[in-house]
Amino acid sequence: MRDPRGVLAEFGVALDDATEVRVWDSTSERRYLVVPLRPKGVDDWSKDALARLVTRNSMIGAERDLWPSGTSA
Amino acid sequence: MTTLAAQMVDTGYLTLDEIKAGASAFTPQPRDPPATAEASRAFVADPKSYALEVGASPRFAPGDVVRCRLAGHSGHTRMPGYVRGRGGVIHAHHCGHILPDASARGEKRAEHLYTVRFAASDLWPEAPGGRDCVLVDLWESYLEPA
Repeated sequence: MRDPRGVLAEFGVALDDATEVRVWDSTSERRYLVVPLRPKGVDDWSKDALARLVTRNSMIGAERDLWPSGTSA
Repeated sequence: MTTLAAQMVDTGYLTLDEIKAGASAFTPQPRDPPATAEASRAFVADPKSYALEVGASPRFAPGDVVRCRLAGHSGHTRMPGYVRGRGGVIHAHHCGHILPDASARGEKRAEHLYTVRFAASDLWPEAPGGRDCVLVDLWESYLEPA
């Protein structure tokens, strides 16, 4: 709540000041999930192949860049 | 926690002795399992939605500037302490949802539910300026126009 950028940094996610951080508190019975950002260069990938890139942390916003194995930023 | 415990004693769910002992004075009874496969499937398929029709039309619309009420009540509420008295903007309206403050007392009543957006710097003095924000779901009676 108080220090989302600090928590994200602990997960290895560094965000510049231009990136807006939105913290969603879960006070009602509505539930929210994060749709991970689609990595560059995977436009022609199938849904199943893309699904294999998704990690637990990316679904809670604690991992931002999903890279196909063998490649890097 | 203390409020919930007091309400449970008041309404006869628990006794003070049980709270002190940290154990029920009764043999726990398993919840009745669904009797048929059909009933089991219906139980799993039930979305268990808390949405419920509200008679009144919504007081606020997305974009409205609101303030969370400072005055609370002694019972259960879902308004986090960190937004009390703070100003925000209606981000979304979710129609009627069961009001937890009432359902905690055994009363099933709905109110319009909204997602309210707060600037992080309006909630936390140490927050960096800029656009960082906190979004909280809040029921209509928690809010007043600002």
